[in-house]
Amino acid sequence: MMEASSEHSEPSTNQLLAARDASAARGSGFAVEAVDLHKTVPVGFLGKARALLDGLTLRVSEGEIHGLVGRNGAGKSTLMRVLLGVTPVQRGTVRLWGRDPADPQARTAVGYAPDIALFPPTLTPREIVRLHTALLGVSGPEGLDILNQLGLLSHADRPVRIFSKGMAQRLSLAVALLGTPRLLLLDEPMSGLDPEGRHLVRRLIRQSHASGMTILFSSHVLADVEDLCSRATIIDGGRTLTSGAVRDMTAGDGGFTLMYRCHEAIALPECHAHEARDGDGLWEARFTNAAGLEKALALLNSILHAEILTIQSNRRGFEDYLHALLSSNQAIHRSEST
Amino acid sequence: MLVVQTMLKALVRGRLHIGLVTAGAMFVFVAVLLQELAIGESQRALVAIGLAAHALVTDATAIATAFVLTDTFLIGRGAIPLVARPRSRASFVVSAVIALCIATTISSLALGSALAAVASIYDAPAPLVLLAASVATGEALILGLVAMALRIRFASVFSTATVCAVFLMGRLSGLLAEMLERGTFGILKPILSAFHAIVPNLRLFDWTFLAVGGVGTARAVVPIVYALLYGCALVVLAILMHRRADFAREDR
Repeated sequence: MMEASSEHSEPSTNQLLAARDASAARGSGFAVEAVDLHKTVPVGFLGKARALLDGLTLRVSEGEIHGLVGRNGAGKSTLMRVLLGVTPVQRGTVRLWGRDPADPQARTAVGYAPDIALFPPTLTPREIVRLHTALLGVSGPEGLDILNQLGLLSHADRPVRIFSKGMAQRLSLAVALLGTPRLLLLDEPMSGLDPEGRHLVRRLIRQSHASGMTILFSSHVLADVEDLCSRATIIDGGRTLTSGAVRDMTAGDGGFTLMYRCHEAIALPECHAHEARDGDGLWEARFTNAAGLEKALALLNSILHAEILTIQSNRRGFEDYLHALLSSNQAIHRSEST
Repeated sequence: MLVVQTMLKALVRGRLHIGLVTAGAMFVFVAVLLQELAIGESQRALVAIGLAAHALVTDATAIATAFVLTDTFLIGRGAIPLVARPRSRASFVVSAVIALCIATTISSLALGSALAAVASIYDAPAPLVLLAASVATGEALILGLVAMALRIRFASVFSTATVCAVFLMGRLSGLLAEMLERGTFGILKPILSAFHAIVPNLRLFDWTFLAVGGVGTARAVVPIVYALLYGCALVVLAILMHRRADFAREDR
């Protein structure tokens, strides 16, 4: 997978390679391009094949924050490892700025924070950061700066074994940010963090994005995906269900529903659906936009015996969208298997 | 070198390594107690039991060290951010091998020196005891490298069981050679011969006979060259296995 010949690159060489990679990325438009990935692993005594990735496709454009969403076991962590070049696939192609991640030089500009931060328990953050900076060929002070940014400098000489889960997670992020990577792969970075830690990580992701980094992060906290990501890919059972702008996924029909009570029928302007809900003057009216709703409200306010009950936005949340998508996928699977 | 340095720090601070070396020191004192029971042969008993304890503890230390290094820096989930750095995987394996060799050699020599010091108190030949202990380091290194190569590819239980089997078969390789020479095994002979060639000849590293004043020829160059060649083959095997290691498999 990785060649022994391609080791030890000087920082200046790394910078040149990163610049070349960036130029290649501008050509293809994608920092990450993974197409039709298939990966199985043998499980059990008989080594029965279990699919981890089953035709998964992911494209992440340069400079975007891309969310990776799916159930437990959907293939998110496996995909991250494939992108890192530490897990080979049986079929499909993976490219980071047009280069195979199995080539160590392609990973020069990649930072990675795993879902579970595991470090040698007797080492200190200072030693861990020094090790990673040496492997990257970057200067020592940069590592201390990052530890400081993440509030770990005062703990830099304490062994990692006494760290809380949140502190270990922050150290993992610090390690991922070393060497100012162009691509940041974050596998559930908010997992195990307290609200303050989550706020810190969110801020860090925004800062990194503002400095031009491409970020791919997986999360079960859908509010974070909705809040941070411009685009998202939803995967299930090792397959891509959908990929696109988060805004489009949460848009719904974009309209409004108005419930009001009035004992006579009124013709509401710009209303695309209007029907009586019971025999006691309860009406439901649907509007495609806010302007139509405003006109209807003005009209109803002018009628003395009309009573406005509720106004509801039809914009759906990311969670609703995901739930609907996963449920329909499950239903399809069930019908296929029967 | 910083990778090796970091690996050594992690090992030295680990309780397992310190615990095994302490256990070795206790074995030396057990040897002192037991030699009282050997009427007229107290020196020989002290040296023989002490060297056996030294070999056992050094082997166990090397195997445990190999497992710790492999799990922490080469194959475990925690190793992914490290292995994903833009370096060849071979460099990590070589670093782990160097750390294993340094840690094992220091443990073996420290324990051997303690045994030699105790032996000198009881008028046993301390330099020969130290020499025998030094040669036994070769056995520990081979077993450590076998453990590392196995652990890179297989689960811990299987790796432990196999390395124990290699230890036993390696110690009995002289017996197997004699059997092959004298017996007739028919079509099994080539298989047994191949097996004998693959299994490390650990008898080469047992110089107890020299330390207890026995008769025999002892040329240090043989075990050193054997350990180097066998060790190099194991390092190449470990590099090849690690090159193919799949980090999607967490059930190992």
